[in-house]
Amino acid sequence: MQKTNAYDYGIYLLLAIACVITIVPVLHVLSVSLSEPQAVYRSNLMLYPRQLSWDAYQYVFATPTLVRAFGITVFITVVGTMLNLLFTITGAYALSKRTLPGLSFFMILVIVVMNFNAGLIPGYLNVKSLGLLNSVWAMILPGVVNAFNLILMRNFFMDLPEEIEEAAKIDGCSDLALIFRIVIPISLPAIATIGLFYGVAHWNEFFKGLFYITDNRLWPLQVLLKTIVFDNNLNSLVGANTSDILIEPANVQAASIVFATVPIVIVYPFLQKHFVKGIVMGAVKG
Amino acid sequence: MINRIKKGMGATTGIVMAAALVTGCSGSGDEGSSSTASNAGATATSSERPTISVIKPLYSSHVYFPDSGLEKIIEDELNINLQYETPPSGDYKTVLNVKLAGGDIPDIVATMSPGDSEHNALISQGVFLPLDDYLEKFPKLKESFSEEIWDLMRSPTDGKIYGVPWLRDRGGSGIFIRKDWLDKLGLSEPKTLDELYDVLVAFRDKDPDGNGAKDTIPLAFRDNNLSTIYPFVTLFGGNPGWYPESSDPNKLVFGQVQPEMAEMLAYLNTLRQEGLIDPDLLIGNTLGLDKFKAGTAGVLVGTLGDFRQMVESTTMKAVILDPITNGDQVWKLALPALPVSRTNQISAKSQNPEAALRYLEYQVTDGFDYIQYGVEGKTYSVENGVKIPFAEDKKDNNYNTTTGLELLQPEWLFSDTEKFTKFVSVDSANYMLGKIDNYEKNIAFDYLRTNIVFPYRNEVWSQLDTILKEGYTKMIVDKNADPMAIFEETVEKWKAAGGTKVIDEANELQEDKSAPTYRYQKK
Repeated sequence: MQKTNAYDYGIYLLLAIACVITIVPVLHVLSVSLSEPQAVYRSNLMLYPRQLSWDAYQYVFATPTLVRAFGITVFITVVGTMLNLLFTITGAYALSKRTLPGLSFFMILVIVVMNFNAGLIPGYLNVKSLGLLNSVWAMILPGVVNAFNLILMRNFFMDLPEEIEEAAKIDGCSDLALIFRIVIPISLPAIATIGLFYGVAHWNEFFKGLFYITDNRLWPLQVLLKTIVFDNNLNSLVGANTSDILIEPANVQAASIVFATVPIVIVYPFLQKHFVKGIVMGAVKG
Repeated sequence: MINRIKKGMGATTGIVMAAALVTGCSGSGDEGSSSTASNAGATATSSERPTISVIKPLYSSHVYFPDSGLEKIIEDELNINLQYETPPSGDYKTVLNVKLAGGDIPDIVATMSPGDSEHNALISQGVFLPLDDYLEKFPKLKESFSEEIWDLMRSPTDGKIYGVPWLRDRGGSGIFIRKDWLDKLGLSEPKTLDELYDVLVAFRDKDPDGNGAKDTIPLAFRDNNLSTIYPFVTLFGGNPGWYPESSDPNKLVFGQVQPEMAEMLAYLNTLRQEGLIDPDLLIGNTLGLDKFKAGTAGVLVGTLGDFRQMVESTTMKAVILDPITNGDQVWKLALPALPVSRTNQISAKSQNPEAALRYLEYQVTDGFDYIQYGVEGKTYSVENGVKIPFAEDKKDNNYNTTTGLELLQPEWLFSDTEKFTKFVSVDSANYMLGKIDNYEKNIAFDYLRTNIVFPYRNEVWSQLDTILKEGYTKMIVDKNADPMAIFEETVEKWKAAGGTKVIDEANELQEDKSAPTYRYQKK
């Protein structure tokens, strides 16, 4: 083990600063959401709750709108990510085989759409003529395969030792069983990674919800959140029976932000365990 | 290992199914009917009725419940189908642009005309229908606005009327003060800027809320936009808009780059350094209005109409100060040349423009009570001839989508107690109207007619505005720098970035340099 020197301490210091910069806004929002309404306006930066109070959360959970938007977002995140993974994995697997006829042609197609985006209005026209406007599928189907993730996945598949697949074939494995029983289980680290990319993107879906959804009952969480936080429209939350709760906009805004952030943050530790390497190497040697 | 994976997968499938159950009915159920509706222009349930589609922004504190009971009542009375789209106000222009570019033009479009050049340009692109001939068929709609207002609505290009106005609320910026705090400290209502300064100092030092801590904000401003502080300039003899030069009435100058502005900003810088102004002003994200309502600020520069939110507060006693003076200058309302904040325009492609106009007419005539109050017994009651809405949590939400459906208010409403009895008692409403009348005695008009197309201004305006915003924020916030030096630098930069050309263009294209005048007609 090498001895820690000044250089290392410099790095620690930089990392510590980066850490503080990241954590302070989070702490602030969390403290505001947990504080007594009036206290929020008395201090500028709060790092711990003043006069602990759950009123803002009580208010947020009492509103059917936010809970409904939460349901929509969970739906597009879960179903969307499943579909993303299904199409990305199968597509990438096919493209990873050098024997695929027309491989370079398909790769050009993928690389072109990765670099050139059709833009907002053609996208809108496309969704409109597919009859998807005002449907949750408008937030799932467009972009179901992300070209960048597809290439990432393909490169991972290409690095898989061919010997494993050969061995499986010799043991009598069919092509379909090969992908589901061999390739996918040993590719879990990569799948977890792009699954997280897709999932977070779905969770944060804003533009598709804004442009393709005209019925505000189908708004995903982020669109509703924006009206609450930026347009200062607490009435987006009406329906809450809250006459007994004295509430301030700043509290409710903070509580809504926490409400919309916590679930996706919770996902990370569960995927963390898949970010491990070495499975592949072990398989060949063994 | 494999077992664990299987277990994980089982759990995820469970979540998928649960989510599908939760959202299934709202998601896929609606999908079929609404997508056909937007394509064919009619829903399956009642195919003979014309469908009127509407797009309008949803502002702060507005709500829209789709397909509410109230909407059904209105649809049945008019034998139409209403289809509202209500994007959040902050993204309204973007959403509308995408829809227009995609060829999806709702029958009734709420635009920001005449105050918004992009939306004004849509008229010359033929997106909207001229209404002159149609209006003759809807005399009640026409009578809801004075000839003067209809004339202001005429497009400067071809003299035609392209929309039905949503008039600007009367009033503008005024000063609210905590009367209970003044009484507690034995002070009287300030009448001049110097007296106001003394009050601010007292609010800072003498713990007016009596909580033992020196934590009150003496002066707060409504929000964090520069426009919220601009009216202050009238106390220094300025005008935050365009006005004719005193030496040459045929030359318009832009008030925001005049020396009076520097004086005002330097004054605010001093107040800030002495701890008399909300430290969040222009740089924070909590609104001064919310702070005042929460009882942490003593004086608020706010919009007069906002006062309804605190006039009947049980936790504090606030009053509106009469316009204060500074030497021979008096606080003025800064008002635009055209008293219209939005316009309801009818799509040139509309299948049924008459039904659309009939709906607009209905909103200010037979449907007035539905649109303004909802349904009697469900959302409001009538006491002594005054319609009094229920408390928000007592309202039946099925009939409570008034702010969502509302597209216009008749002109008489703006000078009637009914404008405020929707929110407060008759006495409070009269108090507020009296104060607004009082403030309207001193007006600093913006002479620029925003419905004229100024091509160069359109191109550079947002950039120029950013230059001012940056410079002026610095003038108020910066502790060490010399505000005057920053002002000169900012104005130079503004002029060089196109400001000079904008001034020339305004003078060239706007031939009418007379003072704007308008008065809202009464009932």
